[in-house]
Amino acid sequence: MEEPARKRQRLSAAAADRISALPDHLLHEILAFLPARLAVGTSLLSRRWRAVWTTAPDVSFTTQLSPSFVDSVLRHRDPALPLRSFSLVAASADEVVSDPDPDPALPFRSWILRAASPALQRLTLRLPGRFDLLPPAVFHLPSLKVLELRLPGRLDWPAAAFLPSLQRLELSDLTLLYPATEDAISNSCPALKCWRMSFESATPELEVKCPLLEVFELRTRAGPIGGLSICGRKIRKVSVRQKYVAESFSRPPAAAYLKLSAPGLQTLEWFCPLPRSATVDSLPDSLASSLMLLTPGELLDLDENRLPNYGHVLPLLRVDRLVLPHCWIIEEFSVAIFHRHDQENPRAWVHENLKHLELICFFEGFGSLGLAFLLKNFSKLETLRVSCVKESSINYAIHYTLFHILFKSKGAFGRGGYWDSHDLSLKQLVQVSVHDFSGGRFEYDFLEFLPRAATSLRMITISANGEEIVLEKVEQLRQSFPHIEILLQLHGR
Amino acid sequence: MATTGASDGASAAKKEGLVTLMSGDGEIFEVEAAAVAALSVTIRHAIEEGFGDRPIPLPIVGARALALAVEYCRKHHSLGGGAGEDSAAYDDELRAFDHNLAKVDRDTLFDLIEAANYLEIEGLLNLMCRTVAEMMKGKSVEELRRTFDVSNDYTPEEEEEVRREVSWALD
Repeated sequence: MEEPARKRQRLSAAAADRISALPDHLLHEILAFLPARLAVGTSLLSRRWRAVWTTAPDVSFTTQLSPSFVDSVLRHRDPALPLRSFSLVAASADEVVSDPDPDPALPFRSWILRAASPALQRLTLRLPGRFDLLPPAVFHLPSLKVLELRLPGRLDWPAAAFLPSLQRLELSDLTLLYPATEDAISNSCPALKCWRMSFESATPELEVKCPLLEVFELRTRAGPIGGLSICGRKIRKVSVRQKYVAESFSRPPAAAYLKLSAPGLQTLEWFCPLPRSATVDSLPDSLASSLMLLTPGELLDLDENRLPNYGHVLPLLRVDRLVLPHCWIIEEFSVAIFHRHDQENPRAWVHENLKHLELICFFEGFGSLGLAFLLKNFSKLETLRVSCVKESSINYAIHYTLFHILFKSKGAFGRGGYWDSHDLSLKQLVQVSVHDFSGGRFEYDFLEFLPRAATSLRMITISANGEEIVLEKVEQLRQSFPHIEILLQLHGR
Repeated sequence: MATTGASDGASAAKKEGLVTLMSGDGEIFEVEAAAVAALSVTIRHAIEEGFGDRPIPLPIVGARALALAVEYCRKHHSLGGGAGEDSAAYDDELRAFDHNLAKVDRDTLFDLIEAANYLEIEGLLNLMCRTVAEMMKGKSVEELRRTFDVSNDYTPEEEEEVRREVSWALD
């Protein structure tokens, strides 16, 4: 315990001006998180603050990039102190208050050139509009640790680029990237630890081989992922995602190849079509991967424990999270399961330890059969996310009729129905989220079935519109299972 | 709170892998050397210089700030967060931890800035400085003075002069 006198002293000190008592370099650390306009404005606070901002090494422009304002800040700074970090961020073109200028890229380029001193450690440029060419100086900054670029447009990564101190590289919203060679970025950045890229279009082929790299993330919104070779002893996470358009039945184009050699890999996320070929070596047993499957064939391959016919190993790694982003995958899968209902059950799945499953299901049709089958196999499941759809994506009259004959009276999940007699146990399932719940009978049966099979279930999140039937069914669930927290999120009617 | 860490006080003998820190107000902390050395450059150097069994004195760091700084090091070390949000492993759990830590009162906030600076814990320093910056955003000069108890020592003439100097930056 502190002596009361001392405590009083501290309390009175608290009422004193703690912030102004900080040394300049700590005030600079604080100003680093403020937009330039506010940082300059602190000079009005008191004499102590008058010149503090002029020696601050970090300058950040977040809104209203009026060229004259940026010019003034750069002119009024103490020229003897080079910038440590420089950030230009404008969310939309409207925020770039442009003085009449024949070439809108010109002021940007001159500011960047002014900031690009050998001392610069951090450069952030998030700018809208046309901005095709960075000054070449940016690719030769000896002290640069963080380079963050969100510049819609084309980026040519020069072969001669050399950023020996760069630890973090983030390239977002690029329309095109032209590295001089596949390994140009790797060669330019020998100290890189974290590499994130997102594209509006197809990605080029890349060879990722920075010796210190820990994280590699790649996103594309449209267009395929180029061939990827990823190799590094320190890599812990690899994540590759391609935006999937659920409406499209056609399979999006796959990466030509994946070569993966990362003995320290802990997390692998592959949320895009399986690459046409894959070679994977020296992965640790503790690896947990997340996988998205885009066709029923891929799911059946897994079910029958065989390598996908294009022969690569990705789906046979230990998968913790599985995503099936279209309802036709589970429906076609159900049909196939149904057709061999007289055959012996297959061996245990490779993914019997699956922890998270995410899929889209038409409960009134065959999909529920496939879902129940998957749940039976994935007995270690911890979380489940199901989106309901109101229409089947396949139209097999014969299967539909069979389904009705077999299950209609009790449904696949109804009490005393098909799966009640199949001994389904999900002891580790704790959380379920159901999206676009319509309140329909078969969807309700599923929700009502879950707590019976999943004795540890503690939370169900339901998202739905606010129709009377939905509210009624949710209330019914709450009364049936008072020990489970049931959250209802309503969206527009 | 006097002693924190893995020490259960059962044995007086120094346990393997622990290091003793002494706050400016004389409190003793026994903490895992690996965790604090990984996050605090100052303590790492002190250990390397071989303080051995003697407590490492941290004269300008108060006990409360030191306890919080040690907690920060432990959490970030155990979750592999390293230097802060630039680090690859900065995940939701660490984000939530940091978010809670930043809710301290204003006095402690500045204690932590000074402590993180002295101990050279880069992530903690950034976290606390950003917290102060967030408190400054959207405030007028007058509101800033009130929030941080800054007394205006400008003469009216001086203030007018400064205002002219930076008029290009004012709305």
